[in-house]
Amino acid sequence: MNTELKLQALVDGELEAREVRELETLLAQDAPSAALLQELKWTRSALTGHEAGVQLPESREFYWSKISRAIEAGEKQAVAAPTERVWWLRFLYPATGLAALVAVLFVVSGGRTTDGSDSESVPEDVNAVSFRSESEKMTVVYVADENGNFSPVSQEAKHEPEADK
Amino acid sequence: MNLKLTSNPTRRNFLLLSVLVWGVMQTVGASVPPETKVQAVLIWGTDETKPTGRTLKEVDAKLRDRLGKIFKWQNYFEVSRQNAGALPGKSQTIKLSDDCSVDIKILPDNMAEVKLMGKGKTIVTRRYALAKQDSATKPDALVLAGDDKNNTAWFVVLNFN
Repeated sequence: MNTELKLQALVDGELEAREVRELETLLAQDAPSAALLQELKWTRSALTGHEAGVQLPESREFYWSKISRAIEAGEKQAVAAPTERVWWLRFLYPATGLAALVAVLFVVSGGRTTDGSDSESVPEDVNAVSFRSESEKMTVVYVADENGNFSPVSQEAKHEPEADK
Repeated sequence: MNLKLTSNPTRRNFLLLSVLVWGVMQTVGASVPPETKVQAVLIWGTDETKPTGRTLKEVDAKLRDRLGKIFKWQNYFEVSRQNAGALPGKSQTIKLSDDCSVDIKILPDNMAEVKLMGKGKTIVTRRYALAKQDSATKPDALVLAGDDKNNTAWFVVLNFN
């Protein structure tokens, strides 16, 4: 281990007592190394003592829903890679059987979801993520219109902020 | 005196008819399914200052705090607010703006089907469990929301009672 790495290990408290003593002897004779050690200590102090706290401006659930929506949108945009015909044909019949079974179960259960309660459905060009905020007693369904042309709030209602006047 | 009054055939018939009408009304009243009250509020969330729009007002502090704890926007303005009653099995449409309305249908088993309509098209359909009849707790508010232009957002907050 070279001297620089040893100094870094010393700052990180990773050296044994014997190695520390050896290094201190070396530092007493090597001014550049002593200066480097001081600089490393300052850097460490600056990083640990003055790191800015980062706080999300929104709730964890909403932040996660944004990630989830982005992932879903990415998956939709991903172009299916051309695959060999033989590969998917092997799964065609089992998949068809499974889909038929699911359809039968869906009809028998009266078209309800498995938990018998909350569910949502959206058109193909709309993504939706739902989550519940226990603390605020709110169930949220956040939709993202891929075409981006749905806005229930009229332009007339939200024009001209006072700051622009 | 009372005996005299009731012994009058006209008055007796009137009394009998009144009792009959009252009985019919009670029966009809008991058979009418309870109405579910719905309050729908259309809200616009933005980081901008209050617009000079004629109809916008800030949402009440309690709702603003609740939304502010979940979402990132600084300001929430109420665009419109509507109250309605929904009867089981019948679809109730609540119009919130020119381009937006909510269709609510009360289903069996304390479920509601909520359809958010935009420009005549269904944006999202949500099946939602209402509170049980014997439950003391109110159901959650159902918030349908989405991105709007210029990094703003819209919210439709539905409260069921």
